[in-house]
Amino acid sequence: MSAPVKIVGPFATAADTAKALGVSPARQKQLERLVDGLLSGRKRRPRGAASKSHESAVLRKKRSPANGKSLPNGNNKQRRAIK
Amino acid sequence: MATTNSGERLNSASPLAVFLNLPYDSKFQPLFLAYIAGVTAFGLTPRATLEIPGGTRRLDRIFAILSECPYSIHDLSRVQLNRTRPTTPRFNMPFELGLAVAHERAGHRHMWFVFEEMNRRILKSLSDLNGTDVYIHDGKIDGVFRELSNALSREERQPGLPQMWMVYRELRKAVPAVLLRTGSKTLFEARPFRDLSVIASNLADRIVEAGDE
Repeated sequence: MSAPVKIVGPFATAADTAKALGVSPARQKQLERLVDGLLSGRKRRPRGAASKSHESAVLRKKRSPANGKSLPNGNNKQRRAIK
Repeated sequence: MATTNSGERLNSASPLAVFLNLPYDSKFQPLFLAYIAGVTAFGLTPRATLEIPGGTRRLDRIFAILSECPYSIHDLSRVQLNRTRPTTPRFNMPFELGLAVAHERAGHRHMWFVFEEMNRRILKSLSDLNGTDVYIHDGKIDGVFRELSNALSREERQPGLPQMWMVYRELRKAVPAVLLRTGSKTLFEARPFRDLSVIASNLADRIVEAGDE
């Protein structure tokens, strides 16, 4: 076995999956709303706007020891270079 | 209805279900999500022993789920001894692969696939599979998607790797909400597994279909 297999025919929808796994229709609705939230969050950010990870990277940089404080290992080369 | 590549038709109680025989440990969590994202992107329903409630005879339920699925995927990449004393290897996954092989050999329409992390390691760990195609995923999410695409194909709505990645990323974002809603500390329990499978299927409905248009 283990040879590649071709699947033809229907595509198991979320409703099929929920039914096969015994997930109630009410729970399925809740999960659908969760997916709506995930996908709308993905679309909401306008093109070119910074992502959350980019924003946190900027914040980390602002808080870095090179901006006015000594580095913990006493190496202040980076600080001097900025000055 | 599914067919083999030689055109044979597959009959089963759940014609689009795939039995996932995977390690249940925290290090494996990214690949666990990748398998769920990947198989749902192919329009299949993931099934696993995680669904089995306590109180029933486990072996009966494993065999019941396996025999409902026309496909099974067996990831044999956890061959190490676990660290908890007494240190032991886990035999569940090769055992469940054996059940799948026996089920197929008994004349049932069942197709099983073996996945591994390292090339040729299976020749040492399970040499009975010598001559069987083994899908090597390198322990990477990309590798799981690549090997699923090598093992499975669809004429219509064939998902690409970018679509599988999209399902995976959104599914990963849903993990905290799923754990909160189910009150679970780990994804390797019945309710998180069910929720994640339905969420991934829902995402695949929208992402793979949108990609086809």
